[in-house]
Amino acid sequence: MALQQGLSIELTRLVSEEITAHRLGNEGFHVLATPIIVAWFEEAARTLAAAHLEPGLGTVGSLITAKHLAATPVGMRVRVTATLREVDGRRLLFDLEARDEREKIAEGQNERFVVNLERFLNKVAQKQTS
Amino acid sequence: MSLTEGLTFELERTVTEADLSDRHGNPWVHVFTTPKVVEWMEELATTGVQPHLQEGQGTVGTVVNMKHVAATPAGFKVKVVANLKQIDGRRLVFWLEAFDDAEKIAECHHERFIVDLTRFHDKVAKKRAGRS
Repeated sequence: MALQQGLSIELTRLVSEEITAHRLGNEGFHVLATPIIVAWFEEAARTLAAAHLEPGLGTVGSLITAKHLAATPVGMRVRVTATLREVDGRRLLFDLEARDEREKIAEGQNERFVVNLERFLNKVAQKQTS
Repeated sequence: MSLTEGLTFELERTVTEADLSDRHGNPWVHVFTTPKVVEWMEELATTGVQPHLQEGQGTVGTVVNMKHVAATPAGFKVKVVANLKQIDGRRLVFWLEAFDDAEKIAECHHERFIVDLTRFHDKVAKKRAGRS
C-alpha cells in the first residue's frame, strides 16, 4: 500500500444556497452548514486514500471531528485540505482544514479504516438479513 | 430562556438510498454515510432547542466529535437521541447517540452557540462585502 504519512490533497468548493444551514433546517442561517463541512472533510480524506489503494479496497469513516470557527456567506469559495497524519495498519488518520476567501473556517480530523469492499459488503448484507 | 440542562430530544427516520455513502462519492459502500449521521444529529440539536430560545435568537454549530461505530444498510430505521448536557452562557453542549434496528451506530459530542440573528447577519454581510 502506497499510503504514506504527509500525503495531502486540496478541494475547492463554492458555497451555494443549497448547502446553507437554512436549507438543512436551521431557519434564517444563510451560511455554510457544519454538516457540509464534515462531508467535504470526509470527501477530501476519502479521495486522498482512494487514489493510493489497490482495486477492491476502500475506506470507511470511523471518527470525525470538526471545529467550526467562522461563518461563510453564500457565494464564497472554500478550500479544503486533507493531510494524512498517521498510517497504522488499516487505520488512517487525516488532519483537515477549511479556509474561505477571508479566513480559516474549520479544522478537524478524520479517522478511516481501509476495508476489503467485498468482505465489508457481505457483512452489511448479513446485518440486513438477520 | 427556558433552556435547562438535561433536556432530551429524539428523532426517528428510515435510511434511504439517498443517505448512503455510495451516493456521496464513496463507490460500493452502500451504507448510511457519516456526514448524514452528523446532519441528522445537528438537525435534532438545532430544532430541539429552538423553541426554548428567545425571539430573534438561533444557534450555530461549533464543534462535532463523532464516532461512527457500525454500518447501517438502507431500509433500517435510525433513532437519534440528543441530551442537552451543559449550558455555559451562550454555549450549549450536547451528547448524541444513534441506534439502528440492530445496534448503536454512532455517538457524538456536539456544541452549539446561541446567537442573536440580527447581529449574526450583520457580521456575515460585512464579511461578504469585505471579501477580496
